[in-house]
Amino acid sequence: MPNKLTKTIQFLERALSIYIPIIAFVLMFSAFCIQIFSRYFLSRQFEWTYEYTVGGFLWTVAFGACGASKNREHVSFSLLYDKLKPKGQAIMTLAGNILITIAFLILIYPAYDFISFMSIKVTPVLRVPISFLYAPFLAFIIFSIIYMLKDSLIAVQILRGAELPAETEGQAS
Amino acid sequence: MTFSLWIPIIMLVLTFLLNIPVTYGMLGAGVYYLLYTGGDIGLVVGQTMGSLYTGYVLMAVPLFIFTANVMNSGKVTDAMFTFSKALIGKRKGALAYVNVLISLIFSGMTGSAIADAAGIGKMEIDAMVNDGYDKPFSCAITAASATIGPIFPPSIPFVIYAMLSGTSVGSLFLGGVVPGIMLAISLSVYVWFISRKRDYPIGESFTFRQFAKFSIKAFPALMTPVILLVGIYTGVMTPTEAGAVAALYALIIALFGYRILGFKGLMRTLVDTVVAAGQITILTGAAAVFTYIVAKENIPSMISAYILGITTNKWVLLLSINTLFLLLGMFLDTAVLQFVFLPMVIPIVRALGINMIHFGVIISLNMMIGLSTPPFGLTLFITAGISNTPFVKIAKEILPMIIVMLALLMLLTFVPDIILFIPNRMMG
Repeated sequence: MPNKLTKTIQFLERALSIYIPIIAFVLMFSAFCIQIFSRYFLSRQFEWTYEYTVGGFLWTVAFGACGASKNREHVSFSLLYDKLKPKGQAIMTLAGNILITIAFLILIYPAYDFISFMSIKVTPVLRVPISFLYAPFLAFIIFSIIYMLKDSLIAVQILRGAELPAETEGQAS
Repeated sequence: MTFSLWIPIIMLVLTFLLNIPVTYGMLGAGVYYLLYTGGDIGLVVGQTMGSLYTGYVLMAVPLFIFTANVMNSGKVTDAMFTFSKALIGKRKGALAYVNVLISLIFSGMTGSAIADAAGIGKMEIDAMVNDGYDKPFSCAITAASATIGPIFPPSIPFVIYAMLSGTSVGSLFLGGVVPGIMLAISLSVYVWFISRKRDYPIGESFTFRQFAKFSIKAFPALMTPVILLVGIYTGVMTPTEAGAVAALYALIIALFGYRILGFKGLMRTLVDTVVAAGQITILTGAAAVFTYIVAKENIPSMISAYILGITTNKWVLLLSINTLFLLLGMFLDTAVLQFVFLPMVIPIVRALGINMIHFGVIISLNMMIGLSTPPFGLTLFITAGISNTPFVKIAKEILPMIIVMLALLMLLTFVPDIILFIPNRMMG
């Protein structure tokens, strides 16, 4: 059972950070190609293509950012951090993660509220609610909280002097 | 001074001190600021996603990244390398010239210095070392020439600057053509000088038949920037659409011309693209939150009033901003400069009537020089990493190249027509 649960979580993780942004990117890219082709070769301007490109773009960015959170690829200033020993790094990781996790936890409900409110606005052609386009932002926030908590746990283990497997060391530092 | 004014500043300092990802730091600053001032915290979503929803030009970012990832594969880089070698021919220091030339060619496809240094960099350094060049010089010229990437169009930093300043991205691309070529020429002049001084190896000679063969092989890839630039010059496409056409073209030649992409390769390229696009673009959205609170607290106006109280001479201001950004670029990542500091100086630059295309090109060149200045030069770290060369040795070797780039930066700062000549003629 736990094995099944782990597999389901791993699949969800991959779906949100890899599959969905790839589908969104392909959708955006295809809509662009149709838009350009129809305008210059068929002398016809489709209005719906623009909305597909915008929607695909927003989903690519927000879910792609989930992938960047998962891979710890967001830009940070590491000049001071790199000079510290593992325990010093763990303290910094813990302090930074607490500061941001609290902010993101505070953000969840107002973000949900704002996104729900945006359902009253729709796109001009396809009548897609703006809330649908903005919703992945919430996934990005929740994803980021999960990884910050994971890194904080590793940092606590480092502070307690636990030996960590090689692949987890970089996650806290 | 109210405490609310200090919230973004304190958050920024903590972001740097605690190694917090800049995106998180900016979003966190927004949350704490709105919490303290009693504003609607949901505005964080409104600013982040709203700026992306209306930021049409930003859609070019994932498209350029995709093109770069497709073109940065072995067979295309090999074709570029042999073509460049054949073009440079039998010269002293030939491979160093080739290094600069490839960067110029690749800059027309990738628009990113990191893609240049990390992608083709290893091949360039290995070839130079095998030919008898010393490792630190090989790394240094690779890092320095990677600077051309975001100056010659297309350019991801130009797209982001266009978004932040409301400047035409097409004009910025056109403004980057001459400076990109001049940067390549300046570095080549340095290569000429140092190759003679150190007696670097002479390149191979190629027959006309060989040159023609390599040119034909490289031709499809060489056409990528041509398609992009002609599309923008003629006004047939917007820069974002040109990004889509270039990406489609790159995909077609990779699948059917060079036959370098199978299903697995395509999937890997797509994964790399969406993660990189997410990382860069969400930062733009988070910067909109930060810019919102900074603007609400009148910080740009305060800085503007303070600076304009000292000088209203635009040349003094440009020199000061250049100096400040160069100093900051020695310690901070380009993204931090672009998203935190640039929005603060844009209103001052505009207030003094400085041409925004001119400023966009010089500040981008300035930030790219920052990528190769120690102690925090990302391209230096990359080249040191891929070649196992001590960072300090590369940092020492790159100093004269930085002086060359700084001289060019000053020339472009004080002679704006070098940048503005093409955009003024083509875009009116």
